Amino acid sequence: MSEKFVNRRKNKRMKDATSRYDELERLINDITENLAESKDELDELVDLFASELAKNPTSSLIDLKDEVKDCEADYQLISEDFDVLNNIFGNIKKDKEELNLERSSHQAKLLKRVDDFYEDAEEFLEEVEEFRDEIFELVEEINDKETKGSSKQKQEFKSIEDISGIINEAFAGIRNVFVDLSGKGNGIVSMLPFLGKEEKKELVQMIIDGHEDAKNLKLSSVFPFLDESDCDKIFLAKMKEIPTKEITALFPFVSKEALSVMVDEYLEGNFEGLNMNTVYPFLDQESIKKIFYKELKKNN
Amino acid sequence: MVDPKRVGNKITELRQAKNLTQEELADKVYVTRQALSRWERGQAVPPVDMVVELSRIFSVSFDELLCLNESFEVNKNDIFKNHDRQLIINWIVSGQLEVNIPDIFYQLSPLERMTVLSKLRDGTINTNWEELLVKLTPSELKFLGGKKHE
Repeated sequence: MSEKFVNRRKNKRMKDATSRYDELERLINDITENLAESKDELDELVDLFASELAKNPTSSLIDLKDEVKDCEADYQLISEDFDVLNNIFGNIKKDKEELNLERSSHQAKLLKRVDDFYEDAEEFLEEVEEFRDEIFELVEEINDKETKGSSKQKQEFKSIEDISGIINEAFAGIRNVFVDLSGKGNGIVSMLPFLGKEEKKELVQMIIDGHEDAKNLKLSSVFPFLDESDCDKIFLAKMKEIPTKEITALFPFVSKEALSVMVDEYLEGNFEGLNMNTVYPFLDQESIKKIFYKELKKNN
Repeated sequence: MVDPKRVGNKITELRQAKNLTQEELADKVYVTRQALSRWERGQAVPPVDMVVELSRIFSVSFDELLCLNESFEVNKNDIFKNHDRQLIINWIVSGQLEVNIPDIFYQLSPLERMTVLSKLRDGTINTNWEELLVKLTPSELKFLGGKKHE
């Protein structure tokens, strides 16, 4: 083996060991930052709770007292764990300085130490992130309770205008259901609950024919209002035009047979646009098995 | 249907049983450690060819790796916690996930509510109508109109 080749391999190994160490250092920095931010968020939570409690000591707010205390205790535990984690990292750092990374045995030693520790550090970061989520949820809950509490106090009707305003607000909620359902505010979708059998049949045909008025319809908004046979008809006619992202939302409305046709088309290579890697988790067991048997056959 | 969270736990369990680190397993299947970590945390499911490869490495069937024959549970107060929304809805409307619909109805978006209602209307799934009807909006009631419920 030429000296040049040996040197090149040596350099590569050294680079691997140091880059992995750098990765670990970045992870530890990430944890440190997250932990510092969680402390700020915790302080804000405690302040918010105290001020809301002073303003409006409702029973639902008082119920959250234990949860706030738990959060403080959790932070204490997490920061103690972090001290241990940081200590270990400090030892690895010290070792790295003492090691001669030109030597392959030392490179391997550093790599092993970093690898053994990396997973723990990664899990710890997840724990800190979860802790921050917990704080966030609690803040939301306190704000929510505060809003509900204050709205109850302000429910006094002074005039007929006040009452009509409240009624309008309530009906806006109902109207929004259909605005949400229709996506782009398409008029057809908002009429769907009120369509008769014949009109629905007409709509199905319009969708299949690609009629201008039905082009922008979101199928996931339309399918809940149609029978399974109509959903099948549209699905089979249009499946290759539906984006992968949306197709999974249609699965509950179509029959097993229609899904099976889709899977067969895919397995025969006639459905190139479908990303099966994201779709298969939503399929029924039989279809999943079909896909995997085909993949196994291919591998063998 | 496949639950990414459960598949992730399974991969972690099998990897640890083989005394492999994430890095080592990632190298074996030619993916980055980050990708493997995402699978293990249930943030994504492995692609089809990777499932086959992982089954080979762990000497298990793909059904076992994908936990296809196992039952599952959700948190009643937050049915979508740790799960893909679409997956949960598909489970409910296919009857694979048994929940008391009136209890969890408030957690659904307007479109998800209509999806569940359409399956209730055509009798694919059942519920306690007395409990549910009082929780519906006028337009949802209109959607169910014509169906007689006891």
